[in-house]
Amino acid sequence: MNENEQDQQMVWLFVLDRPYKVPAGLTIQDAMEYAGYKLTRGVGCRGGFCGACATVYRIEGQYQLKADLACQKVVEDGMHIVTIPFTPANKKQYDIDAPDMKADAGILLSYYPMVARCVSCNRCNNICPQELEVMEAMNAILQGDVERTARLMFDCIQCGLCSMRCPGEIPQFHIAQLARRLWGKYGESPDQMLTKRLGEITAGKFDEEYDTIMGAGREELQAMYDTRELKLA
Amino acid sequence: MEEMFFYPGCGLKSGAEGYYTSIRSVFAKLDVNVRELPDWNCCGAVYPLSTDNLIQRGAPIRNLVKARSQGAEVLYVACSMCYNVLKRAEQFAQTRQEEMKRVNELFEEYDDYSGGVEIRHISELLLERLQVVDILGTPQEKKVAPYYGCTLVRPAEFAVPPRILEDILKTVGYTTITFRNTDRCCGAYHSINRPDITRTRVTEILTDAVNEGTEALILSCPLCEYNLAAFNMVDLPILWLTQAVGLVLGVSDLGLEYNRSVIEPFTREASHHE
Amino acid sequence: MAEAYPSYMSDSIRKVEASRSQRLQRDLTELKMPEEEHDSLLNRYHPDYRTEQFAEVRVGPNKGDVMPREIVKLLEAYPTVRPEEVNLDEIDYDVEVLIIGGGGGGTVAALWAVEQGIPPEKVLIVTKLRHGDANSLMAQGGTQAATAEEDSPVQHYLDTMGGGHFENKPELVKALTEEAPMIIEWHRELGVMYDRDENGNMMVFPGGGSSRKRLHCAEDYTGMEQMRVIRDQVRNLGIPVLEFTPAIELLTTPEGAVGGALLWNLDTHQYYVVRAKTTILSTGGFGRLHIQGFPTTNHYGATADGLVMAYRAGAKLRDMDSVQYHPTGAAYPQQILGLLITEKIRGLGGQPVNKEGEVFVFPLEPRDVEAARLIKECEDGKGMETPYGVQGIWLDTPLIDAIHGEGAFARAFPSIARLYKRHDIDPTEFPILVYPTLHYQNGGIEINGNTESSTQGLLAAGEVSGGVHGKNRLMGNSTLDYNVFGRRAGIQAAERAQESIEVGELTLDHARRYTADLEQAGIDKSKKSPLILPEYRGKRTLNRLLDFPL
Repeated sequence: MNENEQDQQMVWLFVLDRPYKVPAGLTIQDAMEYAGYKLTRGVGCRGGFCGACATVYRIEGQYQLKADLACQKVVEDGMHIVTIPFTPANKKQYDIDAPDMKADAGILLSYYPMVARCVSCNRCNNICPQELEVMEAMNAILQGDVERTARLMFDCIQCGLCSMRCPGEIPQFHIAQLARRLWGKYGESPDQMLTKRLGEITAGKFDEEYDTIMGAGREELQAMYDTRELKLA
Repeated sequence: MEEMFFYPGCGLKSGAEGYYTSIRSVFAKLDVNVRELPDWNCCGAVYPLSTDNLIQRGAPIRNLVKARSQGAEVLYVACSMCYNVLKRAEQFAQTRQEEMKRVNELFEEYDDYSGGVEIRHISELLLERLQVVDILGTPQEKKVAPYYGCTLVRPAEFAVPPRILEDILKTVGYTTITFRNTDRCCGAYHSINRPDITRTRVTEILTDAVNEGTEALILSCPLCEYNLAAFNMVDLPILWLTQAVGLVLGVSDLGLEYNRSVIEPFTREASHHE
Repeated sequence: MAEAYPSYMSDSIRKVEASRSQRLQRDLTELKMPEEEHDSLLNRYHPDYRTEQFAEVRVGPNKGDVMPREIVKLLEAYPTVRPEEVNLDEIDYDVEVLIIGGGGGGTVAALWAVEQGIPPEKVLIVTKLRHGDANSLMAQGGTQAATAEEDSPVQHYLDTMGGGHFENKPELVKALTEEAPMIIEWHRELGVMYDRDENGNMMVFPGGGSSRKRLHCAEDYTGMEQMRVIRDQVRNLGIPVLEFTPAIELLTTPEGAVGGALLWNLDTHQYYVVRAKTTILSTGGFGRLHIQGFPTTNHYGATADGLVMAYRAGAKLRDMDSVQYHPTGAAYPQQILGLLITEKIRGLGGQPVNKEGEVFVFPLEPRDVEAARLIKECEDGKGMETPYGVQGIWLDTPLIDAIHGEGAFARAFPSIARLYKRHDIDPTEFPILVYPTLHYQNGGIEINGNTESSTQGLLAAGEVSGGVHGKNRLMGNSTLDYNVFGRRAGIQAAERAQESIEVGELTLDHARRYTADLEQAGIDKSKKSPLILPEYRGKRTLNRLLDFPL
């Protein structure tokens, strides 16, 4: 990074309202480190997957509070930020194997009855850094469609901002986790090929082949590898 | 084929599936394609009935905006409660300019809404279609009583045309009974914390209907159905409007398996027609 | 959208567009490099062969072995904590199994330890950031399992051995490949949503170096979907997790077995002493060491702490001279430099194309070959220069929709679509620039089939371990690795829990001995490790730091 500030375009970043001049073009996270922060919170994968760095910000001159990921969002001049490293929304504990569990909206409503409080105000959609249709996902539960909930919330990184903005106190990201597991386990069926292969393995179908190949010398293995057929169609 | 933009509401998706199934199949028989409004959200039920919190307006008005973006000039609703909420929301959008300014600003993600989607109950289209199509409405001995409940008829300015449910049922050949308690409140959300109130009300309504000779009660509201079915001490068959119509028209897919009351032998007998 | 790329790149982009239809028709297997040419390519172009970037480690169980300088620097370093600073007689946590590292390997180990009978409260997961902040969560393209009709676990074995240059440990590869289908089924039973086709069957895709389609994926969020589910399961079972509490040193008994660890609270700076019958290291990789200055796909905490601690406790490492560079890390814009662009794109037909619009390599070679080939192309002057000095090769992503229909890219790669959308680039309209990026630790703590290291009481599972992948890991085998061996570690811990193993006194004797060895080798006393977190603060700040006791 170029330390010579005169040569570079600089912008103002306000971290918890403390002003810092940082080079333009840096992500919020990189800018904070440039400014001298050793990050121990609100930082995780740095790639957009883990939800640790959800950051609420406001641009000078505007009034709206917006949110994005600090690891991806490039600093805009006059950006006021706070990173929200954790949301203490309540996650219910459940046994996914319990006999009455199924891919049914009723299950979601029994563990998270507050879903019914949704007034479709759209605040969750507005704040979601992944631009998910959180509101529609909650409505899908009220409409009995667990699959839709699971699919709409599939790209959720569980930052929790939706639940912070929700007037109905709905922990959308926790509810979505249960919806996805219910769908993955009870909505989809076992895979036929997988079941068949498992049976073959248990029956020892490959035991002899394994013994042979594990006993093969390096040259033999190399030859087998070089001449193996590719079936990728 | 005519097309109708349709708002199902949460009830028709969960609990009143038989109503939705019969709506689709009966309107199909009448050459109308039921087109569900994409991405619709919950109407909000009672929330929009409170007057002083604008955020509650968001839910119904967002549906109107979605209907507008689909190019729908008319949005049809089946659930009486949803019908009432959406119709009042549309009127609010048309008449309360100051408050709509705030609503529109609050939900700035769409272009300002000031009305423009007409809300109609499916009974209105159903009667129109039945009168146009050549139906063999063989007069039946079966006596049915429509139950209007509250939200189809109150307040008066939002009510469906008077006696429209009787008109529909008569057109397809039923003998209709208009009983005194046809628009008496079933107890609504009292069923949650004062079920005794709901039990009393429901018993009065159903007893009255039975005393007048009703063989089946015909409904248009999943919320009413919830209460009536819960306290159906007299085991009166309870059917959806479109199921009753569909039986006579010979429509097969009416979602009867979802009904919570005992509907046989009524359904078998009613579906027999020359 | 075109403004997203600097105007000087437009010529090259046009060439890529111009050659697209012809490249679509071409059978690229003709570009496949004969196996006998692999070695010479790697020798010339793969970073592992730049001998001046490696050094011999002068102390410890692998004394004399050649490893990357950055690793040697951490191994040839003094323990940060001095024994006299801590009182090891006061035990803060007394458990059956201590799991160091809250990624996939550690989480799976915890679940299976409990499944096999250890009460949840007798398990402790400790992690330097949050539970799930790990490379596991960032995996995109899939998990290998030989489920297809024309496939077999033995075929998977052969592919894995070949990819690893036959240096893999056979019994580990057998476990990996034989248990793969069981892992997928276990995931399904937990509720993982693997992608299904219209008939409801799990879809399988090709990966580099694999001779069959056997990658099971969940969009391109496979790692995230798996990690979310197993983490949720840990939470439901009430297995304790200590976040923001890295282990900074292992603790050993006077006999030299590992009996627990010393933890450090990142917020309060206090230390904790953990006694455990079994310690499982699942600390992941080392991408944040930026070997040879490469950017990395890895998460913030990948700093080889586990390697350092295990090495001091006498655990032997293997294959540390082998580092995996993922062939396609993002190369533009600078904000996403090094981030993972999944191999699945090439699996679905994406092609690496040079600045002249020519496809120059079979897209699905094993990773080391593919990476070396991209590096060669750039060194030959056919790469696209970026404004900040890094070169890149085009990855022709618009091919995905061209082959599979409109919307295919958005459905299969929502995370990548999102990544580029934030920087105004639409990968369905324009190719993206890629360059090899530091990705995976091929070797590590040597383990046997029971995940035992050479030190008593210390197990290892996942990326931190060595022997599973030989000299080069295949795509889809790392998420598989942490599941298969995380499970085996958990089961092993449960078995040890049944045995009457007494963990007596806890000491830092091994650290003292190691310190003596370092002194004898003349290592500079200022060198300290483990690193815990990488240093990214601006130079300005570092020059003006003042240590003030608050």
